[in-house]
Amino acid sequence: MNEPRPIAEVPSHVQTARVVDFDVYNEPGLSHEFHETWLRLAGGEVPGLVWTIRNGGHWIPTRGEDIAKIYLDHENFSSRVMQVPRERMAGNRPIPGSYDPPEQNEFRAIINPPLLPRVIQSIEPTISGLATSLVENLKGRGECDYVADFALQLPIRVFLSYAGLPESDAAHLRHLAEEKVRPTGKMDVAEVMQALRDYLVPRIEARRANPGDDLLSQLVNGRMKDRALEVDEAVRMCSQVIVAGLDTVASALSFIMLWLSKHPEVRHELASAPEKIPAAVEEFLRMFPLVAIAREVRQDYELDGQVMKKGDIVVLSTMLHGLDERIFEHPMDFDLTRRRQVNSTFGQGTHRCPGASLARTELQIALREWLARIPDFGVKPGAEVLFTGGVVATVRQLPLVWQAK
Amino acid sequence: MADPGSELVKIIFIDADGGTRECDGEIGKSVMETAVNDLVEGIVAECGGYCSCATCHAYVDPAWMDRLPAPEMIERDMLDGLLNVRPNSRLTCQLKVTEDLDGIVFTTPASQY
Ligand code: HEM
Ligand code: FES
Repeated sequence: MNEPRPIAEVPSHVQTARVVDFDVYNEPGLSHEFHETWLRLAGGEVPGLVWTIRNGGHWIPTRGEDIAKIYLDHENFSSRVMQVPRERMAGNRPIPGSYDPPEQNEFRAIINPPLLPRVIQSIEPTISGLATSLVENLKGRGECDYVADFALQLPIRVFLSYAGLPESDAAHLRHLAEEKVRPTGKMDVAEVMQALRDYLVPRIEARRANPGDDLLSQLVNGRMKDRALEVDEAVRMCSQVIVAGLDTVASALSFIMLWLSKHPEVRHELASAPEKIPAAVEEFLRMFPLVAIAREVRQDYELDGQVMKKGDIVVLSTMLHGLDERIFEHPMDFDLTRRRQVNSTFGQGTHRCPGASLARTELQIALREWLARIPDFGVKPGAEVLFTGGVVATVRQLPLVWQAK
Repeated sequence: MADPGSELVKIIFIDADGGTRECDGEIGKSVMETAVNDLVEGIVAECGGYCSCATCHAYVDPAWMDRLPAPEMIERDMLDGLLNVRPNSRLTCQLKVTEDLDGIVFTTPASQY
């Protein structure tokens, strides 16, 4: 079985009826039924705010409406703590993720412009080319591990291309990004950051001496209100932009493809009418959120008749917003005719994902190019598809098979 | 016309299909907040007003352009990166509701993404 998971004592201000035992990263069930397991936490008569004894003890709001409200309220909820237990933040200060306004706004003013829709549209041909060549190489094989062979390949290649870095750096950077988000224990946080620094600093310096119009140049030559970015800030910013755009896109793609493997009618509809793909991607993003990120309560705050104390941690599960049946009827159903309502898959508020436009474009193109070449596929018979929970949930493997022509 | 001394002014949102919504804008709030409070679907506003998501984009009726303060640098940077941007594009979270704006008309784009 799993290693014993430590249980934290329940502080006295927590109402007894709210105490649950739910490990937001390793709850049994998440590995087999990721979204369903989250939904079970929020189902039935469960209070709008629960306290779990796992991971140091923390709050979990269970209603989409409250999750959105907290995302939008950085004045009461700080991003200083992004993970649980809070000790996991030691030595880890991502930019802009772990900062609050006004500093965070200054960082975002640097990150936002190169990721806006018009810029992303201009790199669409590159993204299509990369997606196409990945599918073309796989097509004749009749099978692959979609996660390793496609979903993780596309976003790193898109990043390298837009950052003006060689494709041959893919393996090294992915390895570091993975160590950062899912430490294997081979490197500690400081070693991973040092390795990222070793990789990035010479490239940052080159782009400062000789700015281009690539993503990295735009990030590292960005200015705070009244000063240039320090090199260390540039490293932490670039690291977060890299790390935040890999697993997220890979997982979203993998959840979508797993679902499509079981829904031939939708697969065929999208293959024959690719103009429906953008709307389908929006619905998939609602159905398959994957981020569970934390906040620290800045001053006592009442929600659902319970006071959260200053210093308490809250984990915001984006899963519980897109799949909230109070907002989205039959939330697990794919329905392109739903009334458009905001969800939190990309977060909300001042930290709302700056990569949303890039992510949407990658998802749309990846589905379009795949379905155009391999419209029929299924999970390899006998294979078990497992998930790993975390700040970003991942699909471990997705063995797909199809008729190679 | 707003009643003299009233804290509310009329703000009109027309969606891409021509549907019109007349909203009460509270003086001091943003145009975006007016739309969100009234569930105007054409304004998404995911960042909540931090000029960080550009999903509160709308076109100001040209007749009203001069009555709005010019966009600051941070808004211009965001507008520059949008699809379907026009000379009368604005981010509604950066516009404060004032008495002068009573009756102002915005058209929302077909999509905010
Ligand atoms: C489907 C794919 C993606 C999902 C579901 C996703 C989700 C999220 C969420 C929920 C947040 C907010 C975190 C918080 O509030 O603390 C976030 C932030 C962020 N995302 Fe994404 N993301 C995706 C793709 C990307 C891509 C492609 C990039 C890279 C360009 C990216 C870069 C970032 C960065 C840098 C932040 C931090 C922003 C800040 O703290 O101000 N993301 N993302
Ligand atoms: S609400 Fe995000 S930019 Fe206006």
